[in-house]
Amino acid sequence: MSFKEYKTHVEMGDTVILYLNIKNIHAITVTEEVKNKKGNMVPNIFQTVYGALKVKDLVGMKYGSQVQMTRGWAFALHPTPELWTLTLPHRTQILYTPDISIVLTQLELRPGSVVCEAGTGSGSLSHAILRTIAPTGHLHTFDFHEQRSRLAAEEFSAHGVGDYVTARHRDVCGEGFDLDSVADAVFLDLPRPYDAVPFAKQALKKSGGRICSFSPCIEQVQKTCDSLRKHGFTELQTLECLQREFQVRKSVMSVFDLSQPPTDGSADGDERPSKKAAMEERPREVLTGIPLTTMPGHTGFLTFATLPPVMTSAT
Amino acid sequence: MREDGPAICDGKNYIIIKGSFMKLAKLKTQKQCQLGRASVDVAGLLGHPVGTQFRLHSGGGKQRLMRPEPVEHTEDLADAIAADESAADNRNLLANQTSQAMTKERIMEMREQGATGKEIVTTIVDNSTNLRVDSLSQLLTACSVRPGGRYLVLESGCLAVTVAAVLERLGGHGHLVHLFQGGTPQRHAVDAINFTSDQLACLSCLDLRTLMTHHPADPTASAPAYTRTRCEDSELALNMLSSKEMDGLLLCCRQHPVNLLRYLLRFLAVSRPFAVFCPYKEPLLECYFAMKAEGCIMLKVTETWLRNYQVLPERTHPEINMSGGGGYILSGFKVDRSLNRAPVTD
Repeated sequence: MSFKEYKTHVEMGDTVILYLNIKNIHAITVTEEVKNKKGNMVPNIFQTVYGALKVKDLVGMKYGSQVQMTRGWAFALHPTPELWTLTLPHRTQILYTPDISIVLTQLELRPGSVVCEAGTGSGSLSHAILRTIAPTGHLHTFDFHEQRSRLAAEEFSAHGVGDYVTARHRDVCGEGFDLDSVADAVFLDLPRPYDAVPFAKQALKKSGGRICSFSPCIEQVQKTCDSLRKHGFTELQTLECLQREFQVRKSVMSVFDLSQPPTDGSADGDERPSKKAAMEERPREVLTGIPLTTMPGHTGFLTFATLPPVMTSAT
Repeated sequence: MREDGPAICDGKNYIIIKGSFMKLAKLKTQKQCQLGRASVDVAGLLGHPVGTQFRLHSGGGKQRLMRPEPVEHTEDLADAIAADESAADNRNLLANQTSQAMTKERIMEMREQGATGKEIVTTIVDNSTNLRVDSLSQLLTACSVRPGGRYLVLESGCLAVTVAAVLERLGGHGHLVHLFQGGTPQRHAVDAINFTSDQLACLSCLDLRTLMTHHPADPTASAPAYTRTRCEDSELALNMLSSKEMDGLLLCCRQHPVNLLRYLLRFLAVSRPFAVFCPYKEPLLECYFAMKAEGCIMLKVTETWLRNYQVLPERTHPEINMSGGGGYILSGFKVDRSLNRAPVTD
């Protein structure tokens, strides 16, 4: 329920983002009971490295405050599409925030935008789109996998954004979007996006619109660009976006003192340097930010294009 | 006649695209529209649908005004290259580029709801700020900017690009306090977009000095505010900030951010994000430790890297790397540690 707008305190039914540490962040649905693997309803207790958490105890807590557990504590954070992307259950490979950010900007999404998305996948991008186009826009999202489409619809509803989205089980490459001149933007994350291009054109408004196709493989990109040009799309732009994170540390480095020559232990003017001669060392603290040892090298290529307005003969 | 969508009008702002050249211009019938070396007769553009593509014909007259003619089928330069088999030869490709038949011009209105961040940055900015559109995109998601939210943006040196981008994402719901230091706030990007008065009502400007001292703003200050007087704006902004419950804090300024961040964090509600843009990494490393000392979590310093590709049959390859000059972003969340004085460990 807390995806629709910001709240100050946790209520039953909310999704809370429980932050233990940077590697341990979880999305928890606040309910008294939860179904276990055998299908029985049991008290909702969330096990963590710092101890067990009775989830219903979260109700009434202020978002952003500390949650005490047996061996430590965590923070209860208010959900956002960005935090959801980091914690959602993966049913497919998902889009992460660096790519999502570019998609939102380049598709020119804003409150009131009408968007078509295929496939829904795990709903990572969907949540970000819904946030950006609310309260007057609408998202039509499609997936050819029946269970995924249904799970996504359930999630949208549980998150309080069901009114802004229509989730359908449909193969848009074969059957189209079943939409005519309604969309400001179309987003495709499909194995064969080029097959959906003519249907995307039909779904877009006659006054024009934007399209984006996300593909891991360059062959898919080439075929999609070909199809986009054939169907009258212009301003084609293919790019990839990577985010590099820095490991921020205070490092201590020793510094040789070169202002004086090393002391010479011998008294008889022997010019050989003393074995004990040493440069004086002083430690110095430096602020460093070095890239993480591994970073994502490739997610997918993003191809953007514009559908210009339809011209009529009498202008 | 068109079915829907706006027509090109006299006196409005438009983005004009000629090949890879993009320009922001206000179209006026009394004036020509200058596109590089070409001067275009504005009268020939008016009345046509937004997004129309025009072909330029050399006109007569002393001024050598070019006459635009709307074309039915839109073509990219790339399309023409792809279609032309002889373009596989380098020499022919060069010749085609200079031929008059290849020159196309397209006009796209900055829609009434506002142009995108991408267009603002590439047209107005034109390399005069160090904030790229990909960094701007990341700032907006790092702060989870949403309609209905209340945001505090301190910006200088970016021609109000960040302010305009956040205002666009608010879409008339919520509020944005634009904090500035001395003089008058920059407003280039906000002015360029034809925001409605409802959308502009979401924006108030406040001098940092007024915030710190609570001395009222100078009523004789030169530039008027958008929908209110400068005094009314200040009062509204001060009221909004007094609750110290802002939903997001965005910093994008020329000055070293660390003092500003330490001071402005108090206006942010708990469980809400902040994001700081800086063209240099080192100031953000300082900010990282300063925010860690304040007990903030999920602190991250990142840089975004964009690479464009040319995609053509048999000629697909990356274009120039844009890895330099994109700037860096520090983001994090403010939390409440008052329950438990446990030390900051991670």
